[in-house]
Amino acid sequence: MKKIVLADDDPGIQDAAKLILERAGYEVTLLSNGDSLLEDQQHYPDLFILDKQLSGVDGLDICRHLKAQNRTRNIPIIMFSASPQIGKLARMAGADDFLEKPFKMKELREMVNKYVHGAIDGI
Amino acid sequence: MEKRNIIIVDSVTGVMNGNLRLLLESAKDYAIFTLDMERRVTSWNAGAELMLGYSEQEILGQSGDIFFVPEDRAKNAPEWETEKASKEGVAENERWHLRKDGSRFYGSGTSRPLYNDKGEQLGFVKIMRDMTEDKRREEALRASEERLRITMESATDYAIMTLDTEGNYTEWSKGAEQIFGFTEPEVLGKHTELIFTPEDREQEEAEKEITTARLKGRAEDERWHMRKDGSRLFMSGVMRPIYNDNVLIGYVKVARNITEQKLLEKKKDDFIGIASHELKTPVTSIKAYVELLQETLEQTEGESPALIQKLNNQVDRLGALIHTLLDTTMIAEGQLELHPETFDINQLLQEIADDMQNISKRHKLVLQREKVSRVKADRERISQVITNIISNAIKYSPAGGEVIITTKDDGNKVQVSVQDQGIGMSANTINNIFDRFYREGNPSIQTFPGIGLGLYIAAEIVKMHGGRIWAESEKGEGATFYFTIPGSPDHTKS
Repeated sequence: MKKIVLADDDPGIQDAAKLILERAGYEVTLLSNGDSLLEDQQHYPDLFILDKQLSGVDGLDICRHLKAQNRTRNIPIIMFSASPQIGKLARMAGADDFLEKPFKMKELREMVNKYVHGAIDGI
Repeated sequence: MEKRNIIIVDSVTGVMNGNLRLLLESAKDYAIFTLDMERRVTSWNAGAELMLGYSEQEILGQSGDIFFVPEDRAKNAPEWETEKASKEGVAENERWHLRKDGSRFYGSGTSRPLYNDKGEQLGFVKIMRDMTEDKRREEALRASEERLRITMESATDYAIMTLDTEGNYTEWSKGAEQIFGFTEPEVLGKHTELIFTPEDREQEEAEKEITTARLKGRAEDERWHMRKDGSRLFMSGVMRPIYNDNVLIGYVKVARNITEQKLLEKKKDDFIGIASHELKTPVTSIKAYVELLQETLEQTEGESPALIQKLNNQVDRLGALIHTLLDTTMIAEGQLELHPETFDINQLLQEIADDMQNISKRHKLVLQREKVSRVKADRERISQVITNIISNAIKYSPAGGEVIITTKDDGNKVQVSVQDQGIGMSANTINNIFDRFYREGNPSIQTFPGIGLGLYIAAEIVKMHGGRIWAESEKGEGATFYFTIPGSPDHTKS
């Protein structure tokens, strides 16, 4: 089972996104605080989904950090935000893609599939 | 004393003779008459008859004092005048006089003594001109200057300044002193740039304003200015040229300090921005739950799937509304950024038309395109412009009909128009249609949903692209919306 780490400080989004992705067959780990992502881990997921706004650290900083580390630079990152302008900043920080909130369930699953499986292969 | 002009008169009658008399009689614009030593009239020309109303016959021998108003007579003005003329050789004065009919006129006159050839004084000659018109004009001018002075001094909420043709200050009101902190002597002769911010000085905004005022007859502007102490304030003002006999003599500028209003507006925009942003989070999870539920109930019998779909549509509507509010605050604060790319606008129109055809079965979206129209623009934002205009066309043609979307490419720019067969607009509406929060119609007759931001956002996006947006319509005749955006530099390549 492919693993996704999702960091968002809103419990509602965490819960709903987890349900959407679990139904699509992913194992989802939730984080509301991005600090742990700045430390070395034992295991890394197949995809990170990061909100810009996290308690403690800015999601963009985490994105830059992950893309700068040898062990994580090849793991795709999708960034979330309610502000459409963050899209450009997210790409500048190295994110592979950006999803504006509110998003459609279909959009989220298609984007995740694309980066985890390297192609959009239907849901 | 020796230099006095001696006017020779008949030694017995004291009246001027011969050619001189003829000459004076023909001067109709001047009242010319002579008085004896007791100030009795001894001669009277035609000008005097016209000005004072007495014929020569009735006035000869009468006292010249009757031409004076009672107030002046009470002050012995007639005696003072002749006394001065006798002593100094001439007495000049300007005062109100009385006509035969009791009406008054303002006369400017000169009295001189008359001598005979033996050097004996026999009387006086008075030459007088009617200055009533000049006097009235002068008084009106003085009154209007006084009003202006009072206005300039008392309008402390407004800065009133006048400039010469070069843009240097010639007047600086009390209000301007209070608002900007400069006193009048500190600014007189200095260029109006003085109160502009360094950024605006760099852009020569002061010169641009003067040029607009000169060419268009008025220049309105709202901008940040600088006080003497370097602090900034937001002013709204109007500049107009001043002409004298069709010659430009300078400019007048009236401006109001609206910093507080501007800051309040910013607070309001910030609030809407934060509130909309915060609203997006619950809407995002509600939408996710609704779609999960939809997925769960997909195969269910009964009305549940349809109800969930309706719920989802309403959540989308809420999402779009929040999006619109956020766009508006970003535009107001100048934070909206464009990400231009080169694309075929016809292809974009096709995609949007296909998508929007689903919204209404009563409307037929018709596309009339030129072959290739490539533009360099923010595709997503232009898509928003087109969507907003088509939504508007559909909304305001409740009876349905065709919505014709046309493109034209003249090489430099691409023009898109959207024509509907709807209710149309009055001229007043056309003038305000792109204003923030403007909504057509009288809600008591017919209401249309919306908060009046769609066309405002469309207009702002088009303007940011360096394009133009406008509408043409007549009430009941449908409406056509147009906008232009610059073509792509390589637009000729297909």
